[in-house]
Amino acid sequence: MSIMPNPSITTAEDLLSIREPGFRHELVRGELRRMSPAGHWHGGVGMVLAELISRHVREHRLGRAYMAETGFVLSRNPDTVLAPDISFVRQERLPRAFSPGYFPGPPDLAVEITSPNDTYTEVHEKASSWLEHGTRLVWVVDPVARRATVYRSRDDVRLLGPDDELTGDDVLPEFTVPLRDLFPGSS
Amino acid sequence: MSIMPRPTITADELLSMHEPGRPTELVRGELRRLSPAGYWHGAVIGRLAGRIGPYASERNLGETFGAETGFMLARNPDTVRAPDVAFVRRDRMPSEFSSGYFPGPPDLAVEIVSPNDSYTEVHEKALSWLEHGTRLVWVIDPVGRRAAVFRRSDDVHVLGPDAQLTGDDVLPGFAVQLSDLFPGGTGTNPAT
Repeated sequence: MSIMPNPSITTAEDLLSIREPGFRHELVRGELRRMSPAGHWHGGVGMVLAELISRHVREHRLGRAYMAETGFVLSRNPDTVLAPDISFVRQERLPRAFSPGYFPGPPDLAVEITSPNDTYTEVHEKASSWLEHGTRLVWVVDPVARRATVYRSRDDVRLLGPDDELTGDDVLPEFTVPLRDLFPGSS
Repeated sequence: MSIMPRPTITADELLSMHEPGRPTELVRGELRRLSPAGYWHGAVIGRLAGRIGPYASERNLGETFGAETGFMLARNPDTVRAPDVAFVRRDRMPSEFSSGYFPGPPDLAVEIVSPNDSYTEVHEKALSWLEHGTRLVWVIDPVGRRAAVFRRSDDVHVLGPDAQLTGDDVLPGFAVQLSDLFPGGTGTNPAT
């Protein structure tokens, strides 16, 4: 993630108008952040988990799951728009009609898949941002270490190992997946 | 197919290496070289050690260790790791001088995050302390102005700059406000 000073892009609406194929962008307190495309290992793990979440959400009519690059407006003036790798919004919070912009608020579940070069500071800041803006469950999945961190609040953070299960708790009821099933080479 | 084992290094061999300015750890017999820390990182270590040291010695609670002190976490293959600040309670301190690494984990291990440290390696190291018996691990992030307190892998708390780090049962009564550990006190974030 690199910070690119660009004084012309400061609001969620400005961000929506950017056309720069191959890059993802986020806005943190009015400051543009540009992110490189993810590596294949990251993308593969994200796809497996996204598929499981999406299927579970549809089968149980829980709401809507979103793929990577979906923007969520977390705050205004200055604007913060973040895009998790996978996200979920429960049924009663979904807008009834089409609107072209970012989702107006936080997702109920935000999932981040870490890349080997992601720094502790930026991953931790992002997980904290989701929580502070109302996301009820944050999963940070680390495909290199084959671990995950589950953040439910600042005072409820758990580190899971490959033998543990990710569970949806009250956010995605009945969802459960052994962490090892997400990683290539697992049986 | 045969896999040629890489030669492993022992704690005794590590102790005899002299490479000024290159702090080194041993993880399951494999050398890990660390770069010397930036000055901001070092200043946080100084501030924290400057609080814990006098607190512990005035109350005869135990010994405080500065960065680069090696703790022997495992043998065969050997794992020797060095936290940025550590504390060992009095009853676990050897009564006589010995020249080697501390034979076991510290009771408190503190890691100060550097801007380039990856999420993976910071969590790996925090877990490594816990798995070998350290009871309290503080991961302090001066750039994010946050800290994470690990008591077990399923008992982690995230603190903001206005919260206090507390010694709990490891350093009873010890407390310091996180923002007091950052150079410039309540000043602005140096990274932005």
